[in-house]
Amino acid sequence: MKTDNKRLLIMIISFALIAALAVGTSIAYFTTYTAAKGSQTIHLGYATRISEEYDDFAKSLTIHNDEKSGQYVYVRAKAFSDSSVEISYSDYDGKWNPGEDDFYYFADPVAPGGDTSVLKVIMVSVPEDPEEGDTFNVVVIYESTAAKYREDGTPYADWNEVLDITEEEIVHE
Amino acid sequence: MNKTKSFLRSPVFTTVLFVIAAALFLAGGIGGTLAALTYSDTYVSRVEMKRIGVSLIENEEVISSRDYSAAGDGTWVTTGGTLLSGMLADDEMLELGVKYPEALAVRNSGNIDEYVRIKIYRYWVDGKGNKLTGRPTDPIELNIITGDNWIIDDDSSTSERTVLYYKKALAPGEDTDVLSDTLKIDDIIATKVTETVTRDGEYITRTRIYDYDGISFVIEAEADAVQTHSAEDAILSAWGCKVTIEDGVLSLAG
Repeated sequence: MKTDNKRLLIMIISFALIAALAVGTSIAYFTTYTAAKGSQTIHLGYATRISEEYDDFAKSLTIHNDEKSGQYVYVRAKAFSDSSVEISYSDYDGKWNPGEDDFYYFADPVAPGGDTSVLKVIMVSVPEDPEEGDTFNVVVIYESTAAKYREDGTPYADWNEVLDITEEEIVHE
Repeated sequence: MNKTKSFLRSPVFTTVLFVIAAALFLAGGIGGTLAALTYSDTYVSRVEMKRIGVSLIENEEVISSRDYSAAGDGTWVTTGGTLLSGMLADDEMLELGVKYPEALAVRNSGNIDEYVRIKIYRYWVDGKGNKLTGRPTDPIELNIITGDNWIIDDDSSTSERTVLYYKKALAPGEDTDVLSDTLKIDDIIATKVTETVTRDGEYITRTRIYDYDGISFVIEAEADAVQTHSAEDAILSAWGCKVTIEDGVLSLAG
């Protein structure tokens, strides 16, 4: 009886080996794969500053975009004075253009580390022989906005862009 | 007749059967393994070995590949590159809103016909490379073109991952149609700002930080290939996806 069981076991193992061989063959598929990835970093934010030189009743303005800025910027500027002083503008390369809102707009976006050309603000109606103690004020303001781009890469300025601001408040007692 | 019965019941028969089965198993196992890996010297001179291979193509350049070795020694020839490395010139800044060329495709770089699929991932990482799962991926606009031959598997796709199957089998050396043409980062991210208002006695300080400044977007692509022989079973086994193939054209089942 024991011998018969042994034989039966051996026969089962034999058939199982042959069956396993058939299964093993049927699931051997050819497959392969390949993968790659890449990234680019977003740089946002900028800092600008204005430089003024005064000479002979004229201010010469240039606006600088900081080297560490992450974006090109567009800039505009205008001058205010009291009524006694009339103001005119000039530039040497035609890049500063007047807008309908009395601002002068620099035509090109200014790269990080770059400057505008000079905008000259000239005080044209200053009395020819001012007396000591006479004063007048000419105030220059300028604004900048990050350059935006059309899908083909053409830059433009959006002076009306609205930010989506999330506010967080910290109170120091 | 009695002699035959007696022989079948004898220990000799059982032993012989076991030895034959074991020999068949060993020989068959080795043979099956070698069928996928190598051939004997005799066959090398007469039979071209079947090699599967797949390459990922970006703007007509091979970025990465994994091909079974022609040496037949059981090894794979792999190449690995980086996507988006040619997107910008050395001194060029990424400009939001601009469409940059990003034409992705898959090539059969083996010597047997194959079906392919591709999984595209897009997501954000911080400066240390940690994934930012809470950021919407919509601003990473990889323009997918399904055309006539790519099918999007909507059930397997998410806002971060797009899974596409190519309907036709690729012949050796053949490329798929491109599955994307441009990549643009929506400039809406430049309007996302967090303003911190600090109140210290009578003083109020407002600090604004761009939410997306200093973080990176990632594009990741994984191309899979499988043999065309018994393709439905092979795809189910290898990719876990049920497909039907009629007249060589693959479609997603149910």
